[in-house]
Amino acid sequence: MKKPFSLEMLSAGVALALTGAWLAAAHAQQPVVQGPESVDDWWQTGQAFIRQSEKIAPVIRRAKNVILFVGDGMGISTVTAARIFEGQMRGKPGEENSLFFETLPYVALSKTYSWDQQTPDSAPTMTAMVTGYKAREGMLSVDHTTQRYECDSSQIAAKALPTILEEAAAAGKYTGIVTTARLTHATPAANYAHTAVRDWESDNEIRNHETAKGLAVDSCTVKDIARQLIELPPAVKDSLKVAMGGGRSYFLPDTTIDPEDGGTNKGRRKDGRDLTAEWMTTRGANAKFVYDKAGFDAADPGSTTHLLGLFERSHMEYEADRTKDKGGEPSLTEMTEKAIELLSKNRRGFYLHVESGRIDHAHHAGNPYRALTDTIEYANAIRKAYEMTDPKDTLIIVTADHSHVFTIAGYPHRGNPILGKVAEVPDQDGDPAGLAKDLLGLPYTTLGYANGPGYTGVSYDSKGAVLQAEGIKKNPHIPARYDNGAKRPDLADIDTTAESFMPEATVPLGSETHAGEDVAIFASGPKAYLVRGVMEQNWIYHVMREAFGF
Amino acid sequence: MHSFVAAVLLSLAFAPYANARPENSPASQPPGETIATASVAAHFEASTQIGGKRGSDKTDWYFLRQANRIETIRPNGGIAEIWIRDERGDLTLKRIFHPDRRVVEYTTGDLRAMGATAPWTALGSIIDPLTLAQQFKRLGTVKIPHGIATIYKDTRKGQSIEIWWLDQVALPARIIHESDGKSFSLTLKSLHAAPPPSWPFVDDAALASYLVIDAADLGDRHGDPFVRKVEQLDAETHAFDHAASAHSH
Repeated sequence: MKKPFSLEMLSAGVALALTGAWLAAAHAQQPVVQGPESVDDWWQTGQAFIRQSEKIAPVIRRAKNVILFVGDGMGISTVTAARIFEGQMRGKPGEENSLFFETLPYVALSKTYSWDQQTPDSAPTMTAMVTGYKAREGMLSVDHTTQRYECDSSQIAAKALPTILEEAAAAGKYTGIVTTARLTHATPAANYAHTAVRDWESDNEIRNHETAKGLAVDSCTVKDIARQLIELPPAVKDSLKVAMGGGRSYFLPDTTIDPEDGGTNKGRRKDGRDLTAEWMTTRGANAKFVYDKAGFDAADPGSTTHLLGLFERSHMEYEADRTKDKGGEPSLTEMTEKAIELLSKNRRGFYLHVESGRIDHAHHAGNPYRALTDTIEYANAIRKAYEMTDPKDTLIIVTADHSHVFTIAGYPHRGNPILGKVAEVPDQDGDPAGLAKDLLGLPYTTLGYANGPGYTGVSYDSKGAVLQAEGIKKNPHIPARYDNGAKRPDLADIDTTAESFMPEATVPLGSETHAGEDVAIFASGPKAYLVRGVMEQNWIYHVMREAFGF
Repeated sequence: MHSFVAAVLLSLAFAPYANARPENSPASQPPGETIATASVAAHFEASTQIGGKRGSDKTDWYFLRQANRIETIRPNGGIAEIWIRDERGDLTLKRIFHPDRRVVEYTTGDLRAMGATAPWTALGSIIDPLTLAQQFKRLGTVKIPHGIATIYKDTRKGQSIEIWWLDQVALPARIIHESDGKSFSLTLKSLHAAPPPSWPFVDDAALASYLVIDAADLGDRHGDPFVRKVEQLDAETHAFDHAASAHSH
């Protein structure tokens, strides 16, 4: 109900009843806002769902392959908004659309808290999913008794938790990792790296830690994350056939000019090691390293044994910007396809992790457009994986590591642009849908954030000078403080569907934050029926392990 | 208030975006466009008047322009910024925090996602020449030690910006921004084709020992005290944005 019942409404109702002729005329009008369904369609689709559901037979056998898809920061509101956006891009109202992974037969909720966080970051959440244990903030695949900033390699080894990737490797399966973030970023790294600090992606970060803490140079013996990827234990090293994403600079020495970006852009490693070269020298004659679209396209899965793709110095481009990249980049779908082609050569099967890593970054920046377009591409990649594998032998799990404070608000009418301003179903059939107004008489957007840089109060720098006036903020906007009192902007003449539009945020923060509510888990294939109810996030590992039969 | 000074390059670089001007598109005969990429080294002094007190906060600000690289240096704050344009016209930004030995890097993609697609000529001129030509009122000319400057002014929403523009180098010789009883000014002190050896400069070799953080990762580093500090300092560098935005609509 939009409004509570009141005497005022009764009076209005009585008045309308007295004007019967007017009322009859109004009833004769067709609603301006209409869905495409007939009355019968609702029944038929419901019945079709039942018939389809009754045919779902649990696949009880073991899984030959497991693919774990993680949309970083893809909370349920992001899934809903992306579903609508995808439908609207196809010319439909949008609400009735389903992203591909929403059609998978089994769904559950995942409780994402970590051992020490109510709302987590990506390190303990991915650790939970790939090891079966919840862990500490910022730590990758080590147990929760690990000390913060522990940099003694023997201590890390003692605390290390075996991952599903490592166990798959030990079982003779091929393994792979694909992401649009850096390969050394928390989510992909939790598959293969064990460290107390997710930010130790190259030796540069560890050396800086030593300096900051007054430790002797090279006293920290733990390996940086990029090095861990190259210096894997023998079984894992041979098993990891494909690793693709961004983060090239973490693999190159600080004396090497970047092969794509050139100029003064160099690697960041202090140890002088070129880990991309070491990938090839330690993986045999048919190993390949590629860094652009041309190299990616030329990499033949049939003849390539180990493929390392590092397509950006840092994170890969957002899907919305991908075609503008200098060297060109493969899409998440293309990387997923090539990874599966390469991994499918093993009759014993494979484990593949695929991450859409930049949904999270777009939300942090208060940028729904890029978060949603990356989510849609994520769904495309999952469709491709499903089409390339057999649901009888491949368990596909689709989930997120955590949510964001991203909301879908108001009562927008069916088909209202999801990036647009709220326009409601009109009170009278035949009337056009008009912009909904708040109690100030101002329109508002459907999408918004509970916190972040989009707070609309007057913002100031740290010395008290006005940074931006009250109202919608323009990027870049990183305020030091605000007036405690946001005045709502008039959005009437603002295009809220623009790629860089920053919706309003309630609580002023420099960066929008993660959210603590549950995320969804979707699954198909062997043992997918074990995905049910409200699950602890670490149980996802146990489902995969059970499916593999380890 | 040095925040105004530090703000000028970056925030005015972003300000042209508010004009919805196509990225790196040619302007319609803006002043100084043709030489906005010529090498120049400029030393500015910034000062603030609050409540009629002149020069209560003065600071130096250095601006170095080359064809494909623009540096700004605030020695007092230990902060520098380097914009790089590659052969495709793609921009990257490195923000250097010397006291912390850290660099925050904005990739082309980061800048694009932020809507920060400034024309190179705007970055290289501090003030967007197109904005100046189209939205400011030309008041006349004045002879100053660096040449003949054209005076432009715009007043909106209780704020005013006056700019003394040197067409021959496509740079302002003076900017005066008045708002809320405060007056920020930026004044050109000296001008060279190349920076004198005594000037502060960004040592690329020294930067190699700094820790680089990708701007996209700031949101995931909420617990890092440096990130919180960057947000404070970032705010200072954007202080002019409000004024620039107000004057670009």
